[in-house]
Amino acid sequence: MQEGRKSVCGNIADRIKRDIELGIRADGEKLPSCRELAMELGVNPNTVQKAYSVLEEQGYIEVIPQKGAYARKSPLSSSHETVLQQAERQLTSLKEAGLTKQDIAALADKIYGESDD
Amino acid sequence: MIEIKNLSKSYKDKKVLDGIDLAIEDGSILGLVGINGAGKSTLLRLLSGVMQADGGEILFDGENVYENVAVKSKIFFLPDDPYYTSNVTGEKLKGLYKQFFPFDDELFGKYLETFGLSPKKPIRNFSKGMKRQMFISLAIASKPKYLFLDEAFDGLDPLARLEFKRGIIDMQQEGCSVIIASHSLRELEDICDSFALLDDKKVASYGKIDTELEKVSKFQVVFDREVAKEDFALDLIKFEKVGRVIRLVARGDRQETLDKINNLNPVIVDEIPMDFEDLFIAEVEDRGYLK
Repeated sequence: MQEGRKSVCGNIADRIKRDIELGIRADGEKLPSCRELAMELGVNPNTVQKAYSVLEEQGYIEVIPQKGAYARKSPLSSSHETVLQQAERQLTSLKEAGLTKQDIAALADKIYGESDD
Repeated sequence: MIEIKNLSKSYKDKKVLDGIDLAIEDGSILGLVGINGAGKSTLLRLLSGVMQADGGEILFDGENVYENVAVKSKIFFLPDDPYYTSNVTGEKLKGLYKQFFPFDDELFGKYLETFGLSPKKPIRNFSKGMKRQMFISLAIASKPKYLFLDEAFDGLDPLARLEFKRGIIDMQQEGCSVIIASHSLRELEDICDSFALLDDKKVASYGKIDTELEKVSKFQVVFDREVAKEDFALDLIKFEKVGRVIRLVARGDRQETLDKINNLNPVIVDEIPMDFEDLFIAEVEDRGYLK
């Protein structure tokens, strides 16, 4: 079975996203320049630039012209939509596999606790 | 800019290239790919002006390259198996290349140190990988305007590959255009911004890697009934059915493809991300050359 691999740009974006979400990159922390990151990874600087564009669009980073890219800990609501979309997609798949509404309610309690957060 | 116009080349009565058309912008890093025997090495030799084409032309900023010293002095061609005389050392090769290129001694030293190579030892005693590292050091230190590499990554360990890629990025930032022929598609995908796929003596596909990847998408789909290839109103590059699982690769907008699949009411739809290697295989299989 051939497993799909994500594009170089996708992998770079995912890694930075994860670092920001896990707090490895703090809010407001300056990211390496496109060129610096390209040199570190051995990839084309255009690819890094594209990854940064995607991250900016999704609200994970802020790019200030002449200054650089900065991590943004609380992503904008647009990326919350992405999270919702992802949840819908995955739950739909799992529903087909037999996951019931009760299962989801039970899991929600387990994951989020009894409160409404 | 490099312009290749309707280029043809035959060896005796065997036609290898038949009407190659390609434009390479300054500052690009282009991956030249194709199955074995597709003509990549031939094209690089023609581009380097060391071999004459049978038809068509190759222009560097409007000037023909063949036997044109002014143009060729800007080109560094590193073949798959570079020739060297039996006693030659790195030092001696440096002396040779200094005659032709704006050679940077310090840069050469830096790469020799990075790769752990001695400039004074005869390179005939080096391993295959070390020889390649020596020639890569010479190529980077020569600071050419055009760098053509045939099978660049072959024989290099992962760390050497990384250093090599870094060297190429540096060169690109200084205005060098690089063409790399290679089978290491993963490495190419890291470093190249564009590619050209040679197939059946022509350029079968070319463009910016990320743009072309956006034009195709791969899905794994499961239905609760029999579904035929014709039922999908898609421009299919690949269609595979294994049991109840269908794997397809389609050209076109990703969302449109997904919508068309969903219109057929599948049980499960799963997108599989595609990388450059996937694209290559799909394109070449589609043309029927890997049957």
